[in-house]
Amino acid sequence: MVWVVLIQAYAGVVLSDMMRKTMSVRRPPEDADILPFPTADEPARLDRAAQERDEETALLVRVREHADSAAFSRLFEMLAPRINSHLRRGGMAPADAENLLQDIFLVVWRKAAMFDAKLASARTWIFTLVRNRRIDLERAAQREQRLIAEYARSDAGAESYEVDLLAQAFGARIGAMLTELPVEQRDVLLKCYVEGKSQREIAIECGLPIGTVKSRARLAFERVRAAFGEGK
Amino acid sequence: MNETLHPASGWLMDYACGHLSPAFDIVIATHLLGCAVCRADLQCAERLATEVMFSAGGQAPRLAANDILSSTRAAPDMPGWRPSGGVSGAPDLTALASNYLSLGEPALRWRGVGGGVAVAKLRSSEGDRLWLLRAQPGAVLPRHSHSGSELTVVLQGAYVIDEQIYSVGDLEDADEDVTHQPIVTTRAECLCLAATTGPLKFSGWAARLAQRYLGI
Repeated sequence: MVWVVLIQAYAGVVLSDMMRKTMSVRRPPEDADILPFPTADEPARLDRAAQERDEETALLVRVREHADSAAFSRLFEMLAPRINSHLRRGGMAPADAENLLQDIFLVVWRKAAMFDAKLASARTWIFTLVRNRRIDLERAAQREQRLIAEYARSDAGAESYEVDLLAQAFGARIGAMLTELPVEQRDVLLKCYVEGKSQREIAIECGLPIGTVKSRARLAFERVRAAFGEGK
Repeated sequence: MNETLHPASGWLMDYACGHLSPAFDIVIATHLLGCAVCRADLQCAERLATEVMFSAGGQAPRLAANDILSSTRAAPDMPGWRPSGGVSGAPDLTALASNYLSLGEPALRWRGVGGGVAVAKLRSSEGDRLWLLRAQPGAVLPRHSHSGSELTVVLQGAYVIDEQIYSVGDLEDADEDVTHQPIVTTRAECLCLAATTGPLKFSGWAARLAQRYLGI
C-alpha cells in the first residue's frame, strides 16, 4: 500500500508546493485530565490484552466477511475510547478527535476488505489508519514551523522519565523490558513514541548531535526488536 | 547487515509514528519497497506504537458506532483516501524508476549541474525538498556536506563513496556530520531519489557558484 502512497506522490508532483513539510510536533499535554495512563500491574493484564487483541481481530474479520454491524459496533466500543484518549493526549481538541474517529471507523467499515489478519492485528491496522489520517490532517494544517520555533526556545525535556511512567506508558511487558535500558536510550523511545517527536526534534530539544540520537535510537530499538521476538 | 545501506532505527521509528515530512517519508517508503529486513523492523516499530496507543485507559467519545453506520448510508465514498497496510506485492524499483522518468515535462524540470549530473526538484516545502538525481556513468559529484539531513535511495544504477557501493534499493543517510563525494559506477546511468533538509554545503568554489543559480 506504500505503492498507493507513491502513486499519489507522483500525482502530487505537479502540485508539489501544496503539501508542506510536517513534523508532527505536538506540545506536551497541558491538561492532566487527558493523561489517563493506566497503572502498571499484574501479568493477568497481559493475558487480557492478548485476548482483547484476538477478539478485536475476530470482530474485524466478521465485518470484512459479513458486513456484520453488530461486530462493528462491538469493535468500535472496544477501540474508540482508547484511540480517543490517545488523540486527546497528543493535544487534539475533542471535536477534532471525534471527527477523526468518525473518518477512521468509516474506513474500517468500508475498506475492511483490505484488512489482512496475516499481516497485522486489527489494532495495528487501525493504528496505521489513524496515523495516516493524522498525517494528512497535519499536512493540511501547516502549523509546524511555529511549534518548532517554540520548541527551540523552551528547554522542555531536560528531565528524564521515571521508570513508573515508562511502565505505564508502554504496558507492563514492554515497560519491564525497557527499564533495563540506559536512561538516555529510554528517553529517546519515550520522546518518539509518547511525545511524538522526530529524531531531529529530539536532537534540537536535548542539544545533542543528530548522530548521538540516532545511535541511542538504534540501541534502544534492538531491545524492542528482541521483545517482539523478531531478530534479524 | 551493513547499517549504512539501511535507514537507522530512528528513521523507521519516525516513519512508523508519522513524524516525517513528505520528502523523507517517500524516500523511506521507497527503500521499504525493496527491503524485507526493514519491513520486518517497521512492523516492530508499528507494534510498539500500537501498544502505546492502546495501553492508555479509554475516554469514550460522544460519537457512537450507530452514528457511523447511519452516516455510511448517506455519505458518498471517500475518494483520495489512502489507507496504509503491508507493502506486500510491491513493484520493483526499476519499474519505479521508469515511472518517475516517464513523468517528463513539466513535472520534471531537469537542470544540469555540470559533470554529467542533472537534478529535478519534485517537491519542496519549508526547507525539506525531494529531488530526482540523474548522473551519467562515471560522473563525479562535487564534494559536499549538509546543513541538515540527506537521505538518498538508489532507483537505478549505482554509485560509490569511499569503498562502499550503493546500488538499487540501498539507502544512504548523510547528515551534517558527513562530507561525501559520490562517484557513479561506469556501468550505467544512475537515478536516485533524495530528500534534503536545508541547503547542501559545497567544498569547491565552482559548485558554490552554481548552487546560487540552481537552488540546491
